[in-house]
Amino acid sequence: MRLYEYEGKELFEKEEIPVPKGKLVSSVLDVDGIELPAIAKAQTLSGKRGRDGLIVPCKNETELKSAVKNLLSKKVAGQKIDKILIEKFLFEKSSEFYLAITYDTSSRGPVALVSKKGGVEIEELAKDRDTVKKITINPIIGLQPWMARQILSTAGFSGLHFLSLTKILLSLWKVFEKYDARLVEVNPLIETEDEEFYAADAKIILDDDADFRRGEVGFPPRDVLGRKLTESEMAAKGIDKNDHRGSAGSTYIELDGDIGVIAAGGGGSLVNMDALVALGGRPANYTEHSGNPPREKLKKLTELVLSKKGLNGCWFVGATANFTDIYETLEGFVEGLRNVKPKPTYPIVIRRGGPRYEEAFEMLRNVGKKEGFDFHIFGPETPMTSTAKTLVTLVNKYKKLKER
Amino acid sequence: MSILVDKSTKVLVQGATGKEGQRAIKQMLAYGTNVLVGVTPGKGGQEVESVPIFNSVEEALNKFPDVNTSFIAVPKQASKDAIVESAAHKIGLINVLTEHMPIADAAYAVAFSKDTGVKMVGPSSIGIISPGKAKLGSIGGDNPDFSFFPGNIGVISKSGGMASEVSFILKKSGYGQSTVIGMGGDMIVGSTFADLLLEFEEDRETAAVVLFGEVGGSYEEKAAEVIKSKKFTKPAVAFISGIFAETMPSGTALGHAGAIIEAGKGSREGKIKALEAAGVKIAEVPDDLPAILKKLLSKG
Repeated sequence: MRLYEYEGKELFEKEEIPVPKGKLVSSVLDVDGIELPAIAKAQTLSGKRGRDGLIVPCKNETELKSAVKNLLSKKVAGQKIDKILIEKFLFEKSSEFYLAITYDTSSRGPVALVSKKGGVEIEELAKDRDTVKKITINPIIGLQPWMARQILSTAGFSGLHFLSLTKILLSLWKVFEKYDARLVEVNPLIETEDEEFYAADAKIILDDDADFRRGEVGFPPRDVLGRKLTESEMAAKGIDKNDHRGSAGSTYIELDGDIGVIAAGGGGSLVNMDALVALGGRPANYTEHSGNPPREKLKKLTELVLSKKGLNGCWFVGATANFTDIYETLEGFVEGLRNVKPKPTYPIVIRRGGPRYEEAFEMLRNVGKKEGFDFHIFGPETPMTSTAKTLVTLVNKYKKLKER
Repeated sequence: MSILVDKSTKVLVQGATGKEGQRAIKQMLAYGTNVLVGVTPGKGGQEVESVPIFNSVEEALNKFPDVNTSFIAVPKQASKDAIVESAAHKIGLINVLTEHMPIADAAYAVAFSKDTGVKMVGPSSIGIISPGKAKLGSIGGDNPDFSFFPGNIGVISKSGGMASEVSFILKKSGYGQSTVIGMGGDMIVGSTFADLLLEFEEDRETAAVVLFGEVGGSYEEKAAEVIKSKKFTKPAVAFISGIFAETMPSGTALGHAGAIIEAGKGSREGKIKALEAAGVKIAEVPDDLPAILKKLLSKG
C-alpha cells in the first residue's frame, strides 16, 4: 500500500527523521495561523506533483488561500484532491540529496541507495551509474552503522553532512524494518541555510502481506493509484472477508470494457487476459478465483461481475485446476447467472478443466438448453487462450445483431 | 534422473495438521512419496494419515534421521520461523507452500538457507513433481497423472496453476516431464530460474526446459545471463505473460528506487528481448510450446 506524503511523514517523525513543520488542511478555512512563506502540496499518490503544478510556493496569506482553493478544486486520475499539506518554506543551502531503501531481486534482499544529486531528475541521473551509490543489506543483520557510513562516504559526503546523514539513513532503515515497508524514499533531502537537514518529501510503500503485525499503524484502504475502491471493488472484497475457504473477489479491478470476466488462477487468469487484450477484446473487469472457493462465493462474484450494464459477453475461463472443484464453482456461476437482471442474452464462453469438470459440463448443457443461455463450453482439450478468439468473434456478432 | 525430488526423497511436513498440510500429506502419500513425519507445535503425539506428528523438527529428526526434505505448509505469520527451523537442522531441500509471506521474512529465510547451504524453493510454491517418482505439495492435485507423466522436459513456473497447465499442454503433444517446479511468483524466492536451470543442466534425463515467466523483478533476465554465458546449454523455451498486466497502473513499481535498480528490467518486452538474445525461443501462447520444442529437439 502506497502512503500519502503526510502519512509517510508521520512515520518519519516517529523515528526522528526531521520533516518541515506542517499542517494538513482540507478547507481554505483551516489556513489561519500558518507560518509564511509556505509551500502547499496536494496529497495525491501521483509521482509527478511538481511537474503537474500540484506543489505551490506561497509568499503571503492571499497566495496561500488561493493556492489551497485552487488545489482543492483539482482532480488527479479521476480523484478529487481533498487534502493539502502546508509546510514551512525551506531556504536551501546546497543541492538536493537522495536516500532510499527498497528490495532488489538481484541480491534478493534490501538495498540502500544514496545520491548527492536528488530531485525530480533522479531516474535520468541514475543512468550514469556513478551518481547513485548502492549497498546491499544482508537481511539477517540489517543496515549497520558502519554500512551507512560506508555508503555515504562512497557517495562523496564528508564532515558534518556525513554524520547527520548517517543518523538519518539509519532512522530510515528503522522505518523500513519496523513498519515492513517495501520502499522508503526521501527525494529530496534538503539542507537549509542554517545547516539543518529535512526530508522534504516522503514516499513509502508498505508490504500488505505484513499487515498482521503492523497493528497500531492503520491506514485506510486504497488501490494502487490511491483511488478509493469503487462500489463493486468493495463488494468484491466483501465476498472473501469472513470466509477463508478459497478466494474469490479479493482481486477485482473494475475496467471500462463490455466483456464480463470470471477467470481462475492467478497466473492462468493473466495469460487469458493477455490473449483477450491482444485480440482487441475489452474486459469490463479483471477478477481471479482460486484455492477451491465454495459455490456461494462464485454465485456472489458472478452476480457482481454481470450486474454491470452494457455487457456484450461473458468469459468463464481457467486452466486445468489442481484441486478446485469445477462442479461446485460452475454451479455457483449458474446460480449467480440466474439472478442477473435482465437475463443475459449475450454469448457466454466457458473454458475449464479439473476435478469433476465433465459432470459440471453436463449440468451446464442442461441448464443452457432448458433456461435458454447462449453457452459455449470448452474443456481441457481446447487451448484456453484460443477461446479468447471464439469469445471475441461471438461478441462482435452479438453487437451487430443488437445494432439492427 | 530428475532434479530435487525422486524415489530417495524423504519428507518432513511442517504445519502437518493444518488444512493445507493435511491435504498435501494425503496427496503426497497417494503419489508414493515417502512422507515420514510431521511437525506442528502443540500437536505432538497426534497422527495425520498415520504419519506421526512432533512438536519440533529436532524431535522429528531424532526419530527419523533419514529426512532430507522439508515441506512448509504453515500460515504466513509463522513461515519464517518454520523455514529457519528446518534450515538450522540442515534439511537439504525446503519447499515452501505458504503464500503472502511478508517480503522481509522471505528475504531473511532465503539468506539464512543460503548461509546454511540448503536449497529453498518458494514461498508461494505449489510444489515440485518428478513424474512417476515423487511429488512435494499439492502440485497436480488429487490426479497428477492428468497433467504429468515421465519424460525429458523440465518445467519451471512462477505460477502454480500454469505449472500444471503447461505440463498438460506438453502431455497432449506427447512430451513427458523430468521435473516440474512451482518456483513461486513472489518478488523474493529461494530458487530462481537461474538456480534451477543449473540443476537441470546437470540432469542427464532433461533434454530441454520450459520457463513460464511473468512481469516484474529480474529473474527472467538472470536466466538469460546464465544461458548466454553457457552455464546452461540445453534448448529452452519461454512464455512470459504480462500484456494485460502492463496496461494496469503499476502496483509493484517501487518509486524511483525501483526504476533505478531495475534499470529497464522487469517489463515483458525487456524479458523477452533478453531471453531471445540468449537464444531462448518465445511462445506467444502456451499452446505453441510443444511445436517449438519439437523443432528445437529435432535439431539436436
